[in-house]
Amino acid sequence: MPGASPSQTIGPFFAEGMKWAVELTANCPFTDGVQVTGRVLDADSKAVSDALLEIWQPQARAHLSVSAAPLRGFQRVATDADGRFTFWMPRPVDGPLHADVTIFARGLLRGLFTRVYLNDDSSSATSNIPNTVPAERQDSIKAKALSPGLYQWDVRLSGENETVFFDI
Amino acid sequence: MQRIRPVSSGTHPDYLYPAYRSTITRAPRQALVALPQSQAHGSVFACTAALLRANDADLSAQSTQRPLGERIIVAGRVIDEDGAPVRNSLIEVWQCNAAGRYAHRGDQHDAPLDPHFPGYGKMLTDEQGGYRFVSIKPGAYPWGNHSNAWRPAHIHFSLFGNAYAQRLITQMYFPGDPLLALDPIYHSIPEGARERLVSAFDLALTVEGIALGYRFDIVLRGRDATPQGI
Repeated sequence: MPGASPSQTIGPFFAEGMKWAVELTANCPFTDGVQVTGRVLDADSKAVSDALLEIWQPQARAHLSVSAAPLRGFQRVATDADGRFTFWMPRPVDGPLHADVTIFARGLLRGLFTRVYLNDDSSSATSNIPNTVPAERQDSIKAKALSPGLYQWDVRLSGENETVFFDI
Repeated sequence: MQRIRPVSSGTHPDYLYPAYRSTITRAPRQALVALPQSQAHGSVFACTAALLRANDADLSAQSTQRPLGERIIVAGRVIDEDGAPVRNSLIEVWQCNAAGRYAHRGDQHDAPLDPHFPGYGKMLTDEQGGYRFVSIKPGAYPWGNHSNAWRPAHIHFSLFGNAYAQRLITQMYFPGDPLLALDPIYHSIPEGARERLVSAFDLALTVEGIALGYRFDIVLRGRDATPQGI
């Protein structure tokens, strides 16, 4: 059995190579769903300005606006100087509303895999959060409603109130 | 749904590797949480050929003139731990130029930019999991991790595999590079596994009069033998 290839960091200089999908994401015409915005923060609560987030929602693929988009349920966004990101969560045709999110950055020797739910959405239903997540850590993967259609979700890579990351 | 097996222990670096300083404030301290069910095992973003640019697999031919540096060919196969080819899957690559400088506004290394070398591309694996691209051998460059720190020459690889759980970002190194012995990012990988990221010079890939060839095979996680739930 051949040995699996080890992971290495994405490093700080990925922007040019990754931008084709970042641009296709930014130009994607979502019409139904919510927006999630937040910041990626390190153990000192400092902005992580060189993170790349990949959002995967295959259950939303059947949605017209998503299936018409070139990346078909996939989004890629980079954080800005303030560590901020914004992405869409299109509503799936059926099933719970959540998104799988993978985070890569300088200083991460492996990608981090997490998932985000909405704190006030009955279909998203925090009851759908896997029971493997300790109760006291569930808030870290719930985006909070800011205004109609807009949610806030910060990702804390390390330290106090660390976001739940999954072993997939 | 068939699950992607956990990777064998001793493969990946731990998140926290203090000799690579950036891990200290960014590595999670809590253990990863098990995820009983995930779409990541049965689906992946599938790039189509329509999204590839004309010269995405030739980084030496993306400008009006040829870039400076030693032209190379990198080729290999993407397979899983069971030896099965990972077909029709997206690979993205990016790298610095021959002088050790990235075409990135954040790279302040005092080495020249090459206006004819953007330094990135992408491709799909074929029916045997094979891939091939043309590029320029990247230079070594200094970084601020510790005193007199230099990264060994490397090419960044991003792979999607055939399921999101196979997603991998890694780096390819070059054989015989003396900087490998000193590099904390390379040494973050457990002993016995790190050599898998060192490509091999291959005369069979080398094109006479044109470019040296390097072989770099990549192995992604395998699948459980029996479908879950049986």
